[in-house]
Amino acid sequence: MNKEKLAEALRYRFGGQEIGESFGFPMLQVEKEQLYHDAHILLSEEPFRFDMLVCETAVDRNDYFELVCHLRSVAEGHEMILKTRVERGEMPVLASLCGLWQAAELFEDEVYDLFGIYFEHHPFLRRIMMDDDFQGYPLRKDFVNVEEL
Amino acid sequence: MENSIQVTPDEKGGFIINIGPQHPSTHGVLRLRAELDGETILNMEPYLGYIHRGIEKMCESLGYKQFIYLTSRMDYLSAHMNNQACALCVEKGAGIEVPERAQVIRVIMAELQRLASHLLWWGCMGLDLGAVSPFFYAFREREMILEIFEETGGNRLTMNYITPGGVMHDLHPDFVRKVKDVMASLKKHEHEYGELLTGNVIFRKRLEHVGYLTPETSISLGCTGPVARGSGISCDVRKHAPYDGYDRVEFKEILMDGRDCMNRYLVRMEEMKQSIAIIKQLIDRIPEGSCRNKPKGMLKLPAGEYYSRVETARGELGVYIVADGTAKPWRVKLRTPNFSNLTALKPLVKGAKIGDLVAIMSTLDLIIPDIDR
Repeated sequence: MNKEKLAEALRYRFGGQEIGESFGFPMLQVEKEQLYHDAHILLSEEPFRFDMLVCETAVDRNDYFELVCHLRSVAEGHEMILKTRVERGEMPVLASLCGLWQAAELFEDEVYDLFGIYFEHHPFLRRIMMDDDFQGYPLRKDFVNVEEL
Repeated sequence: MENSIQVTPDEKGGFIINIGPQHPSTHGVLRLRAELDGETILNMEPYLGYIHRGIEKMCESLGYKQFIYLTSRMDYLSAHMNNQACALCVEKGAGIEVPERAQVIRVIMAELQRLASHLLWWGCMGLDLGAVSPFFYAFREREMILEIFEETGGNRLTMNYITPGGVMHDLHPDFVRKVKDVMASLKKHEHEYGELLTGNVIFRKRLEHVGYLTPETSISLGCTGPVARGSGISCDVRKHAPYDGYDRVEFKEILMDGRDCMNRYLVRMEEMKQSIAIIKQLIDRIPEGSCRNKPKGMLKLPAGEYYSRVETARGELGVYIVADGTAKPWRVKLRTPNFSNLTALKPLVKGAKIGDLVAIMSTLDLIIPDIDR
């Protein structure tokens, strides 16, 4: 399915949500409470069938964090970006997508490690890159490296 | 890390073994914590981060021309392709045209790099499984390729040759002749590669019917490259989203549906032949002209989000850049192929024998600095 048709299908299925373009793909912005629910629709319903999670990461937008999921359908050959916003804080919480795509496990470990976003119902959330006793979350824009001070 | 061990050995009657982080068969600093019952692996958890350098964070404090140099240090055996992915993304954002000569040079370099990478993998694969001689045979041609890189670009491992707007320098006068020499040498010695490993009974027995990866699991895990193509999933970026003129050359995407280690091995062997075919098509048709459209002054990308991807020797490398209009990227995300391919290790080794772990790891062809970044 081409970009325009996919964007139309998204508009039809997710009428109330914001739909735009991001990284050159159609983009769907969902509420964080709806993340798992909407991701499940994108995985299982026709004509979406996004069976592959290419990438899951976060962006620090100063006022809030943005979770960015790059989805692909190997069978249908289309791609999209799924986004959600979560407010800044000590440890914001989002739903884990591990139940939908196995690839999410390590991606979410990394987001947890470097951005400090907690994923509920993740089977084994841990710091994969930094030491277990490391203070702070390096990819946040307000991160200060203690050694540099 | 002690608190993360949840199962004590006596509960299940088995025991826990740590492999790495300084184990030769992991090809880098990766730690595998395997729960064993006799020789059977019940569960395995990879622990990474031993070579985490924070490349994504460093990118945020470097300019668009500069951060590309860091990416050679990720998958150091696909350095050209890593540079290419970032260059393509920056070019897309800044609207820089690449001269045709540079595009052809990029494709030849990338395919030579793929050959060099697969040759090293082939040698190490034999070494992992106890055959020492393949390593010396593989290094013969690999050395010739690295010499070509050294002459033209000045580096053997961290290339930094492909840059936004084209390539760093023009080709060395001997380039065409030397590439033809390598092609002739590979053709001449092709039968040795077949005889040493591919047709070797002991070697085949180690790989056949070991490490099954179903297409469904492969998709769900986000595997790409030869790992996915060994399970019959078409995922070659060069075919699906051609870049730098890959749509103008003829080559086949290698797909095998045997799903086991042997098929992943054969995919790479066939890919080498396709790389040779691509280089042969292009080597006599390098167009004349400039090899670089040098962007003037400080390179700035308009605020927005940019994405590009290439096929490295190990799979799909995606570069995501969030630009804020200044001379430095706001956020760079490097979606590396090995990070996703690593997730396949756990389902592959569950239920396998500990002796097969090395064979499975070799066919995944993991490069650890690419996982940790």
